[in-house]
Amino acid sequence: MNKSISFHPITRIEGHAKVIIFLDEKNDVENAYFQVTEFRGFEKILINRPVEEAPLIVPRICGLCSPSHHLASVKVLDEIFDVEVNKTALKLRELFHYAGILHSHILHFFILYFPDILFPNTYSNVGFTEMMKKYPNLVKNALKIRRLSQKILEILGGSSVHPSAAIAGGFLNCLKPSQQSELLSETLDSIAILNKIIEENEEKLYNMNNDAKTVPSNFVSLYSSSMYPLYDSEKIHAISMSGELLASFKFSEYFENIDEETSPWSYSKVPYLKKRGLERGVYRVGPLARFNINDKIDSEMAEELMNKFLSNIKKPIASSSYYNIVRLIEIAYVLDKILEHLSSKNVQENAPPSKNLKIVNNEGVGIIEAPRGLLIHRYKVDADGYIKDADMIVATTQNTPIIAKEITDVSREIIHKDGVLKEKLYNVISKLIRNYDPCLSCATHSYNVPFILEMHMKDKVVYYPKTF
Amino acid sequence: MALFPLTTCSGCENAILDLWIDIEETLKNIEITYAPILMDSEEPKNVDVGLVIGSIRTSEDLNKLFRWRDKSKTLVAFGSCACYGGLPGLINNFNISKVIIDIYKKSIEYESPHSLPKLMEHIKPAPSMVKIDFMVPGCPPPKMLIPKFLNAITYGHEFSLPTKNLCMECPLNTSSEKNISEIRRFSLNIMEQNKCFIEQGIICLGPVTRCGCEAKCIKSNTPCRGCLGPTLEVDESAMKFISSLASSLSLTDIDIKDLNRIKDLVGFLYRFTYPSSKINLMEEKK
Repeated sequence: MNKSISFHPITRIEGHAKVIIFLDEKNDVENAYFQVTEFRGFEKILINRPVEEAPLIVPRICGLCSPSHHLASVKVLDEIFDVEVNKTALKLRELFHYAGILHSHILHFFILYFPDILFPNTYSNVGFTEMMKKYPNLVKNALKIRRLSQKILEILGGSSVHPSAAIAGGFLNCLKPSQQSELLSETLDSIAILNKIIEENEEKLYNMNNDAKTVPSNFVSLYSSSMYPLYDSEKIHAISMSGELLASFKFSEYFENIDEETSPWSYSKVPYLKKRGLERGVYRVGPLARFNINDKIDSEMAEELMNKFLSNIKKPIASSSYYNIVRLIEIAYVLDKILEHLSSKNVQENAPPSKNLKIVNNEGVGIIEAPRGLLIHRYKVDADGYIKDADMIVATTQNTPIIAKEITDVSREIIHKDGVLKEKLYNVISKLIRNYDPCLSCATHSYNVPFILEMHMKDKVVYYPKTF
Repeated sequence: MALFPLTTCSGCENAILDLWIDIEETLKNIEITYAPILMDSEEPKNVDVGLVIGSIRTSEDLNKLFRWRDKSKTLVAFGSCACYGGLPGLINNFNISKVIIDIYKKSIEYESPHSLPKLMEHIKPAPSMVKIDFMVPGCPPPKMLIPKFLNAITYGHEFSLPTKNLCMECPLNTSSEKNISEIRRFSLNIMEQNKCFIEQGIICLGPVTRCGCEAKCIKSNTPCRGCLGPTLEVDESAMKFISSLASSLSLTDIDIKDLNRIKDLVGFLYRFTYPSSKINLMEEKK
């Protein structure tokens, strides 16, 4: 094997990953890989467990997006027990979900990502401690907004990390009037803080995408004609990089439209659109996909930000650099929706079990837009409601083939132009990875995917997108 | 101080960040020199306090742990994964090599320097491999416990974990005798609010779980699943729990045989602690 360069760990992302770049004799990039190096096996852990325990177990897949796993899991239960989710439960679940997204997005945008913007030409150590020294007010303000999401998750779910509150067909907790008015006032404060942060950093925000590179891929997300869908929708849409609608399907049709291939290079599978095949079927999910696929943003605040920062960009946006500004727009969106929910009395009443439930279907699918993208849980149960099979497809898994392609392209470009400059390579590669806000604990939940690079190298088969 | 992540979900790191504003004073005396999720710095040569987060899944994890033990004056197992192996430890019920052969019809070779990190036979908790100076359990450690602990290591105060069980802190604890008439599964039947779960026949691990979280799950209408770990030094939680359940049964409305309705005892009693439990250790010896 010829020369290789590797980077491990990648900092300021969730989870463990390794980047390996293989060079040929001429020192040109032969192949590059994005390797998820951690593994736990939740799909196996769920086997033979009572299905109602799943929403208490699956949040542990990831400590950053645990509310999303909890809700996706409960949606599976809704189907298995065939229960209606009434308006009260729905509003509470939505509030819980928006708080979860706010919690995660603030962490990513301001703490993981923004240091690269604040310290642009530094190849040396950047991160939280540097930010605290040089931009203490920004850090404080970001954490203040995050405090709102923490409080909502704690009140509704007992904890901001691994909260639990939703049950089959319902939601166990609600807000007292005093809690609601306190949270409402904090929401208004948070909105003011966000606007202040945006104002103070306007120029930096405008210039965030100056180095944007076009990266071709399909996109998949929830679609709605009447709102920006995060908790639920009628359909899932898949579009091509030119914006062509490739597929539109209901949640129950998910597995007819999307298949998974074991990845040759990491503890992570490769989902792809069946009708396009593996090479042309890989797709991106997450803020960029949601934004590209949906036209309606039912929030004045978010729409204003969109018009401010993205008015002259044609959709679908191809560059992964734009994930971040969309994430900021989504922060505004969920704040607006939290405000809306906290302004109604709906959240003062809970929705505990109203009848004794029986297994109606032995299979259920729960789909939701987690902060990082589309999240799918599917369980099969026996007649007594014990899990016989579990399948989870998480956001980051869907993005990994395109991350790998971007790494290959960018390292090829840099090495061709500047030679093997390790520091520069790490700097550019880690930044592009960060655009995706990857959650590698999520991406590696599955147990059945270990593979070794050598096997792949021998076959010289390359599983990432060539053309679309 | 350094945050040392092994195989982790990052929930513990997230929980620490959630408290940042509250521990501002304490933080003035703490310099974080390593925390890959938050900053780019390389591993320090030495550190006063290392927080081990996550459990040992791969040989790479184990090597890191040995290295971090050497570098740290004080090494802390932070979170239930580090203390006990954690919820992912439930996979120890399966033989990892068999699973891999099952799927790939051959075992993995780990010869290349770029091979995936080798999976160890079982997930292990940190205290089974190195000397641990403090344990701060919880999934994640509750927000009441983290500042207490940080103050202790920063200012040299005493720190010890509570030894009483959760029922001591539980708002639903009535000292009346329990009279369970039916074993029921959580959330699938009408539940009485503000009534002890066990009294309703719903499994709650409160009697065999350490207190210290102010019963936050109970206050959210969810029964305890034991994330703070067992109260007993020697892990006989299973026996204690079954016998306490058996002794709480109504004399007339339920037969002791009905306890067989409780499936997945391991998943209830050892959800967060399986790798450090007697049962797992016995399995391993086999």
